[in-house]
Amino acid sequence: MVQEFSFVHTADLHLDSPFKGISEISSEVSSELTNATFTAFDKIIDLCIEKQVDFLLIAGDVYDGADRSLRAQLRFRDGLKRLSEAEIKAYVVHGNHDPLAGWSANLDWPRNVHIFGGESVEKVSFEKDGEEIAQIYGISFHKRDIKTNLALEYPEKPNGAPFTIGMLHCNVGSDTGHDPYAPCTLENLISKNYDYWALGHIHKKTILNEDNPPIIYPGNPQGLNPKETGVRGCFLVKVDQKGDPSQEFIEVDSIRWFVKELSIDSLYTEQELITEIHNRIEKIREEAEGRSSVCRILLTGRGALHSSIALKGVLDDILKDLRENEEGEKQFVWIESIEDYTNPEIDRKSLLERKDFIGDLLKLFEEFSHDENKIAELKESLDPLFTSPSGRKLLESRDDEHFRDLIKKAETLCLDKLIGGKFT
Amino acid sequence: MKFEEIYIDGFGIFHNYPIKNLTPGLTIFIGPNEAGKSTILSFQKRILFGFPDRRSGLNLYPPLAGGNHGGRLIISNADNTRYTIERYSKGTHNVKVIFPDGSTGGTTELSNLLGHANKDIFENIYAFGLTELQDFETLNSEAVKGRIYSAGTGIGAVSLSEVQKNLETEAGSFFKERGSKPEINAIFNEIKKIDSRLREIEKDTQNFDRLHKELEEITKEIGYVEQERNQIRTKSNHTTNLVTVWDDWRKIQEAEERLQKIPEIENFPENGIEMLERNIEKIDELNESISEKNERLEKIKIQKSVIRIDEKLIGNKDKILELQKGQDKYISATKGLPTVEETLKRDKEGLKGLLHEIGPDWDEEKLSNFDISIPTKETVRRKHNTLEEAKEKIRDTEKEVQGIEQKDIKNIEEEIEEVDKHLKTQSLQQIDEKKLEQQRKSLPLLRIKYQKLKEKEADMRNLDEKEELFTILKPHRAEPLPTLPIWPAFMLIAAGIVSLILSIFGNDWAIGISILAILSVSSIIYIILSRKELPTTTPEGFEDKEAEDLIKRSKDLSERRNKLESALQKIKSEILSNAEICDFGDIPDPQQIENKDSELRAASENQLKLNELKKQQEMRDQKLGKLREEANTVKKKLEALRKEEEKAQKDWRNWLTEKGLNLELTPEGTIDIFATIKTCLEKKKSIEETKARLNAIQESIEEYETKVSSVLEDCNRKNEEINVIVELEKITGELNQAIEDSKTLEQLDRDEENLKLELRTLEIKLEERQRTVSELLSQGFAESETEFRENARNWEERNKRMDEIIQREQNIKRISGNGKPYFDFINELEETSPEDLEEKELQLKERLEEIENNLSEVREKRGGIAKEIEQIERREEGSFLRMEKTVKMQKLKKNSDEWSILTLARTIMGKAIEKYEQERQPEVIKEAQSFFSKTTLGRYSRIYAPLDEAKIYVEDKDGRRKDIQDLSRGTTEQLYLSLRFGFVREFSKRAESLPIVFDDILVNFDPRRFRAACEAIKELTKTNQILYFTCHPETVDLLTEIIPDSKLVEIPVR
Repeated sequence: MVQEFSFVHTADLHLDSPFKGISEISSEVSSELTNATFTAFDKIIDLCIEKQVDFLLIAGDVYDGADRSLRAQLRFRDGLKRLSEAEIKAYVVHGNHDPLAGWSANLDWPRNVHIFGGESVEKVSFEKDGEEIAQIYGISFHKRDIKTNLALEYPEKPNGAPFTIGMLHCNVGSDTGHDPYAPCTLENLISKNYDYWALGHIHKKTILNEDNPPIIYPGNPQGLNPKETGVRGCFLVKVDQKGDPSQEFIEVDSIRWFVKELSIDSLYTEQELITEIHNRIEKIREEAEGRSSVCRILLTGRGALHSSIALKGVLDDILKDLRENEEGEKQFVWIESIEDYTNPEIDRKSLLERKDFIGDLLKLFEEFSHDENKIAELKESLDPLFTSPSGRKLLESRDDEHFRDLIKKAETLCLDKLIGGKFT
Repeated sequence: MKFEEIYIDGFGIFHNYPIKNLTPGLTIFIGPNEAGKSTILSFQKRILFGFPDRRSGLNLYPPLAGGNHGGRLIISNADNTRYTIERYSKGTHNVKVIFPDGSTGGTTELSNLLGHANKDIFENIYAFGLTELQDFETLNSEAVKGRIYSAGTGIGAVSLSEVQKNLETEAGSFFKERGSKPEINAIFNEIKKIDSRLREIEKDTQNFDRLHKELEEITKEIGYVEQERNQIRTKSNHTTNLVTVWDDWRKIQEAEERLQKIPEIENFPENGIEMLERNIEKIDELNESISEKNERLEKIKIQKSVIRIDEKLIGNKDKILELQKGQDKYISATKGLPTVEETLKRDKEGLKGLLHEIGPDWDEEKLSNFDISIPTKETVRRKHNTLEEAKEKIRDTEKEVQGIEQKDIKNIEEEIEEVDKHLKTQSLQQIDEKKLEQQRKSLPLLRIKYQKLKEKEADMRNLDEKEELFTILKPHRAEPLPTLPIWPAFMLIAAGIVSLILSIFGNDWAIGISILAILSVSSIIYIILSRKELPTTTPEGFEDKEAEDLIKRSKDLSERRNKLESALQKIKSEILSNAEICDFGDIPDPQQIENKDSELRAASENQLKLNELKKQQEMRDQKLGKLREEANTVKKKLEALRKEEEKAQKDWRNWLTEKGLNLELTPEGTIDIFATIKTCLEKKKSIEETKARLNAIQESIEEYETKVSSVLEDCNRKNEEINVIVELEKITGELNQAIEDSKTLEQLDRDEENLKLELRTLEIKLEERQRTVSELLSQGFAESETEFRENARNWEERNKRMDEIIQREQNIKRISGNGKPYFDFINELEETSPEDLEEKELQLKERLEEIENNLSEVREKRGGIAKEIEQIERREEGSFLRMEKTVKMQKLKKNSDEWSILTLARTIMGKAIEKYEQERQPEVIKEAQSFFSKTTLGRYSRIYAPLDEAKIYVEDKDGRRKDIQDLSRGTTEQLYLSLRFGFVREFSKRAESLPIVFDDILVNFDPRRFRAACEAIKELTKTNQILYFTCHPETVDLLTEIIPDSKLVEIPVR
């Protein structure tokens, strides 16, 4: 029988990282977003203090070294200071974004903080009331590109050892969705016989293994782009006297991302569209449970509205109005953008069949979007922008899928311009 | 595809409306405005392509005239197969295609039939509207060119070149290779700026570490410098200290030297000199006081010897004082005495007078005996009242009597006299009343009778006449008939009456009445019968009867005559008697009668009056009698009252006598007397009082005088007949003096005693002081005062020096510290000189300053660094900028996408145009050309569309090329139409052709061009069905003229 204890497991704080995927911002929203990561981190610290946990585990990517944000580090230090005052320890491993070799300010860390080194796997003991209750193994990235399987370097849990925790910033499985840093397998981890694996790197909360042992990616505590929608937080893990851990997910994000689709199939007027969007916004507000949120609205479907939406400036005006409505709201819903994926009423297939200019045009579009050479030709037509000095620096190169998407949109645009009249 | 028939079930204003005669060539729909041409057109489109959604805001053409909303079209395709296309808006919205074999199909089949054409194609290619042509007016030449060009593409009113331009402009708004305005360009710049700022910030953050290091170093340096400074400061201070104490040091040396020189003294009382001097002073004082006191003592002795006192006077003090007090009383008493005596005299006299008033023999004795109590007064009053009452009654009664006699009786007597007089005058006219009466009675009778007389006379005359007649006529036949007596009848009646009476007595009068009745009836019958008998004489023949009549008649007449005569006689006699009564001699005539009447009347009136008066007289007499009686009664009363009064008077007198008063007094007078008596009594009383007072005063005066003289005697001052008051004054004055003197003496004694005491005290004090002085001297080891002083001086000096030494040592110790350090100090001081010390001090101070400056410089530097660090720590700009950059990057991405789309659209569009130009346009132009030359009647023969130029040119018959802007408006329109027609032709070659609809497009063409256009239309009908809608009959005429096999459909107004 051992003493009970508890700890909080978080990772991928990305302090002071800006929100990506926002094309327009207002000043108040901007300040809230810049502070969002800090707010989330503060909430984690508050949680630790409130629940009087014994220690905090941070599994990497605390900040983005490339940003060289002094503020991020200072705030990080402040948070750890608070933990220190509350006599709570903190154990940190660094990841690919904040490798040890990367830039960091010359700061003094509070006493209670232990940062695992990058040379080899370290072990630290956690004692409570003179008793060793837990052991923690961890290793930081000493440089950004760690492609080796770090999990192999962890020793197995020795017999008689107390509750053992493994901390690692890694990529379990061959999940192609993420950068393949420190790749390893689930088996690697389970085979070590640890009682808990505190992982980091994957931003979406994932429980790879429910128990024996729990192997958990807590995800980032604050979503930073439209792909990171949904609830974000950290894990509060309680270990009872028998040494069985039970984990609870605690939400700590202060701004939530939403991406919502809205079909124009049954809508006829702009007003109806605006009303629908309003409804969606209110739904989002509800779902956000008191938090502010950023949302992107995707208009889909086909209908008579398509032509009015397609007109230049229409969506912009709608967007502007909607944003104005949110002004002054404490719990705001910032509409990042309204994207038009709608199609004209007319069925494309039938258009293709036509024998007139439209039909010819569409056939041409078909050709161009499926023929490799033609695609290359089209890409060339875009060179003026993409090969310009600034363009080269700042613009990403277009992948094929995206390009095909563009072609589709070009086709829709042409159709809008050529057809557009209403039924008479 | 061609329309064969149209059937509208319910659509707009149409219901159950078939249109049957459609030709494969030109069908003209003629109808005025509002007739429903657009309705029909819409109907066609809706059946073919579907009904719009209710919410789309388009005109739904609901079936206003009834029917199901929808209908059907019967079409035929290229191989002349007929299909029915049916569509209704209610229900499933789906279209029904009915094949000739009866099978049905839906949307797919329809689509196939239409060659996949849809509403757009129909409208863009096959529908020609007036607005298109009218637009040409408002378009500029570029737009016109665009239109013309597009006409050949079959995309309706959209100009391809415009679209291309649009795309280009829009793309340009996003990005241009050069420039900063397009959005992407702007964002590039912004991002550049943010990047540079971020780099700056980064530099700052790099500085962070460096600055930290610097901070550390500087802090260290500061530490050293401070240390050095502290050291020097210590040294400097030390030196300064030494300099400071130098003085002390010197002084100490000096003081010790001096000390040697002063003789030693063991001890000395503190403040010795002071005390000595004080004591001596005090001794002097005391001596002075003592001598003063002695002087005073002497004075008192002298004073005392001077005073002398009269004892006797003092013994009588009280008495004298008392007398003094009573002095005033005495004086006033003596003064007032004569007045009082006067008063008494007067009062006495007054009393006498009053008594006299009451009565001559009244004196005081009587006075006192008299009772003037209130009851007595009351009695007097009562009596008085009684008397008065009696008198009054008498008076009243007298008046009454007077009244009656004087007035009433007199009046009446007067009246009676008058009336008598009156009567006397009247009496002349007194007539015998009786006679008057008679006369008055007779007169009317006269009148009547006279009347009767006249009547009778008239009758007589009549009768005479009748008789005469009768005599002439009648035969003399007159038989006197016996008449029956009447007396039996009366006997019957009387019997009846008697029986009645009897029956009444016998109480059975019913029988009586009945007997009476029977008997009277029978009597009546008897009478009647008797009478009747007379006339019933013998009934003879006519003549007899007549003769009888005549006989009767004459009988009558003579009877009557007789009667009349007797009557007449009677009357006359009566009249005569009456006339006599009335003093007429003979029968009077009416006038006389009347006169008499009035006479009589007047007389009777007079008579009446007279009677009246007489009556009145009688009455008066009666009254007079009564009054006289009354007067007598009252007189009797008066007598009685008088008697009473006398009695009361007697009574009163008796009383007076009783009281001893004058009998002549009246009660009022008596009451007055009462008042006087009272006054007298009062006066008497006051007299007595005054007497008493007088006595008292006299007594007191005597007493007083006696007292005064006794006192004087006692004090041996008695004098003969001297004024009491004056003597009293004198003695009193002397007494006061004596009293004062004795007081003074006492005081002097007291003072003497006090002085002696004081003297004693002072002497004691003096001794004490002297003792003290000698003690002091001995304490000071001195035999004399002078010695004492010198000792004091020495002692003081010694002490001063020693103190000085100690103090200076203290000073030094304060700076140096106690014990060893002190001695070190001293040693140091011994080894050095002030000049050295000063020099050292200066040096050190200089050095110190230097260091201080250095220190503050360095500190400042450090402060600066700290601030920089703080700034860097606080800077949030980085976060914001990074956020901004990210946002801009995203926007950039979006914009670049937009630009890409636009560019791609343009590119591909361009390619499509190219393709068109290469593949389609030639055909279109070829077809259009033939239309064009036809419509321009050969003026223009060719149309050009050079490749790579989205332009159209025309060539006239002379081979001259013309740009579109060089053409006239009309020609432009024709060109436009030709191209469109050309396209239709070309299109129909590839796809299923649909009917062409013209919506009154030729309406603005002048007749010449109209014809020309009609030619083109005619040409077109070779390949396509044309439906031409118009409201102008002239159009119809022209069209039918040029295209004879066109059909007409009239649409009347509903």
